[in-house]
Amino acid sequence: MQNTTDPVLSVKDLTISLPRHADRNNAVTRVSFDVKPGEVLCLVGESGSGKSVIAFSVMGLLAKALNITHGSIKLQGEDLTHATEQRMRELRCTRMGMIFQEPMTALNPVMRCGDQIDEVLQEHTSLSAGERRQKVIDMIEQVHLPDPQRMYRSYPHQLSGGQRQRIMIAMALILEPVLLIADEPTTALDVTTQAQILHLIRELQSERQTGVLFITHDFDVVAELSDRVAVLKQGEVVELGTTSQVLSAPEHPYTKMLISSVPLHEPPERHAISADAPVVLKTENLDKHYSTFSFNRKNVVKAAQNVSIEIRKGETLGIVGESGSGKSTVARCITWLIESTDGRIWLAGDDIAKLPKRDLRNLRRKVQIIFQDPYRSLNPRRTVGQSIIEGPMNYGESQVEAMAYARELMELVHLDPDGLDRYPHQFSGGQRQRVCIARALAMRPELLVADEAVSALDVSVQAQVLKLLEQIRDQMQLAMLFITHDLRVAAQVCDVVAVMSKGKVVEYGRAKELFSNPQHEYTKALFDAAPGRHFQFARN
Amino acid sequence: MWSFLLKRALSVIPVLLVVLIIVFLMLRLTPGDPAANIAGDAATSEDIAKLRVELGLEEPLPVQFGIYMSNLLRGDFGDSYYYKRPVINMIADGIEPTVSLALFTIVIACMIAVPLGTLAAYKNGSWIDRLIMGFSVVGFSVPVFVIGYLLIYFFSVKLEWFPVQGYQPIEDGIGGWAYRLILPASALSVIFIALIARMTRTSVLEVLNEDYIRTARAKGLPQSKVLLKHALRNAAVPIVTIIGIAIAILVSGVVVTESVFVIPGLGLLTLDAIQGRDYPTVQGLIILFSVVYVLINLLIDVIYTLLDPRIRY
Repeated sequence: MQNTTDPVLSVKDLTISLPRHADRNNAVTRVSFDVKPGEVLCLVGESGSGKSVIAFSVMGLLAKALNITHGSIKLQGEDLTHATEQRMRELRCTRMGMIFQEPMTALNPVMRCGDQIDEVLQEHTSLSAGERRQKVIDMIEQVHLPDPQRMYRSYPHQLSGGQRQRIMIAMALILEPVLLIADEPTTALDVTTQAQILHLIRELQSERQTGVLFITHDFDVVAELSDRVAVLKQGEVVELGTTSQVLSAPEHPYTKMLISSVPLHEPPERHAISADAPVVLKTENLDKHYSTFSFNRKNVVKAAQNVSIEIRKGETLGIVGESGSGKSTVARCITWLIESTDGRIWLAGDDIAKLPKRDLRNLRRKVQIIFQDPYRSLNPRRTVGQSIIEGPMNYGESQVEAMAYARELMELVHLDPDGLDRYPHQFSGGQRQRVCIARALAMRPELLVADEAVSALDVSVQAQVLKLLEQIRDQMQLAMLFITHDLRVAAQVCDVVAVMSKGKVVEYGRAKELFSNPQHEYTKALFDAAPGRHFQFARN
Repeated sequence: MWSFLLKRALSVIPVLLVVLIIVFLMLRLTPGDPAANIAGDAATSEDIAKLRVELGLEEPLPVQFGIYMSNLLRGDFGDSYYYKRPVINMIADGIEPTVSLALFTIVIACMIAVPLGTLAAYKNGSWIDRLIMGFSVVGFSVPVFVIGYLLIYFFSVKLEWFPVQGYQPIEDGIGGWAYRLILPASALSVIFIALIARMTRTSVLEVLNEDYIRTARAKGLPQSKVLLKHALRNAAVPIVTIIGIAIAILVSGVVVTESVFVIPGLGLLTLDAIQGRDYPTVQGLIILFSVVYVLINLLIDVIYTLLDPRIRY
């Protein structure tokens, strides 16, 4: 019989080699940690730190190119590194379950959710069809999904992201495994949904005394959930300790750097924008409706309703909201990527909402966007220089002029101007986003729209890019529209914040006041759901 | 769904009209005179001229087209210039052999190609994969008549397992019908095996990288279930598409096979009709092929909704 305090998972000196020609020899080097029953251990690190590799090696789901070269992984004392494929299959879902990052893609789209959970029981138990069905329905209830019968029959696409993640959790925990591995399970979810899912994981694991290995890059989630933390850097554990110890009094310089990069929830003091600064962008009762026609009826989705905002020169307006709130719709209307249904948009004094298409060309230049994913927003087959000068040359600048300005801009965004001849894949994510910023600035815009521009970046890189954006805005006296779902980020860069929900602006005001004293119910709920709010992170 | 089906069924009309106009013009603008063909070698030019008037070929093209269309709307496809029989009856006679051959071929092709393609995807990069894909390249490149004559040479002439050629109607016994179709269907299926296997491999390979395959493995399912239950069904939409296109090509493309194996189907009829400039018969066949094409596409669209619950019309 297993002692109740013996670790359920014990990883010792684990080393996993990378294929040749990778950027380092090992994905993971001499990693050791334990997960005790009923404990949540967070593995935290930036992208490429090897945290997911560790999770997959425990499950025996490593990609073929990766090999465990040293060390051991023990599940309740049983060595998994030498277990047969057959034995690993028996252990999966019975003694160790796993949930993944993307609930949108982790479920089979052509199978009913209930059948997907049922499959676990079919494989690992000898229960009758009726017993299995009852057990699945019970489990769906335990993850607090409404109307379990209907959930059983639903296909994944009929459920929301949070609901799908609940189905995944039900699937992973239905056989009450002793270990749950969660690989960034809330990263793709909205903040309120994230709070619910974290709460659910906490509830189920403490009921069943499940040991949890929780992989995340998000220190807020760590603060909210974990008992102990292991910090990974380039495949090595640099610090391991209790949550309060690591977050409040980190010892390793890397941990210190990471934690101090987490943006604060409280907005810093900012110099006020003078009231006579010219208004660059103003919208009045902006509406965007989408209509779909089926056989005999018309469905109208009101993606944005009555949105009235204003941005002055040198000012940053943040639009904050969850997915589906309409924040990106507003950004697209303003940048004229889509046509608004109703309302007015003034850009530098011109009413552009109903402008004929041929007159738009000159306006396009005044508004430039930085997109979310720096990996996909640059053409991989053109050098970054070509990408940067393409816009200005379309507007008649000579190649020499445009190239000279591009070199200036590269210096402005702290990149080597000689990098203009290189291709996007030769840059890291943070560097690419700097290139995207340079590309936007090359058009000499008056309004810079950042659509979740730092959401895909690691926290330390995020901090640098935010600082850069702020510096550029002040130096070039730009107006900036900052779209984000991240309250901490909004608090750090915005002068004024508009909170959107279901297509409407529910609260609009100066960041300082809005964050310290939210008025609207939705804003309050949003702030309350943010993980890690009440935790004091160490600061340099 | 029903409004979608109705809309799609009605879309046959413009397709047919365009196809008919093109075929009508092409037949009449290319060299060759049906009257001269019918009259034979000994005919004088007066005989031929008389025959042309009888067949209505002396009318201006728009008038000819008008007459043809108005007959068509009354359900009259016209009579064959050659056989003096209604085109519709001749097509009806040829349908059974052709459809039999096409169905036999596609069943053989699917039964071989889908498992092969799935296996190649699962063993991606191994010698099995390379072997299957190598076969697929060969299957694409060798013409169907070469394969046909090779099969006849080995299996009929040398081994005497199968008859050399000919067709037996289904009403004379299913056994004999199937027995006589095996060789022609095998010959014809080679290129479709190559095509479908390749598509299956690509499609399954793509699906194998999906997150839900990883989920299925994390549940502790054995490889076979991961592959058959989770991967193949998700990979099915493009595979079904290619099978549908294959059927459409088959019905209209059995000409060569039917002439190699002397099967009295639509392929032979088409060949004869084109060679003899038998305008009404060619036009009738083209109408049939177009309708089949549109209907098969419609059928595929309906099958999509059964395979993937996210697809709704």
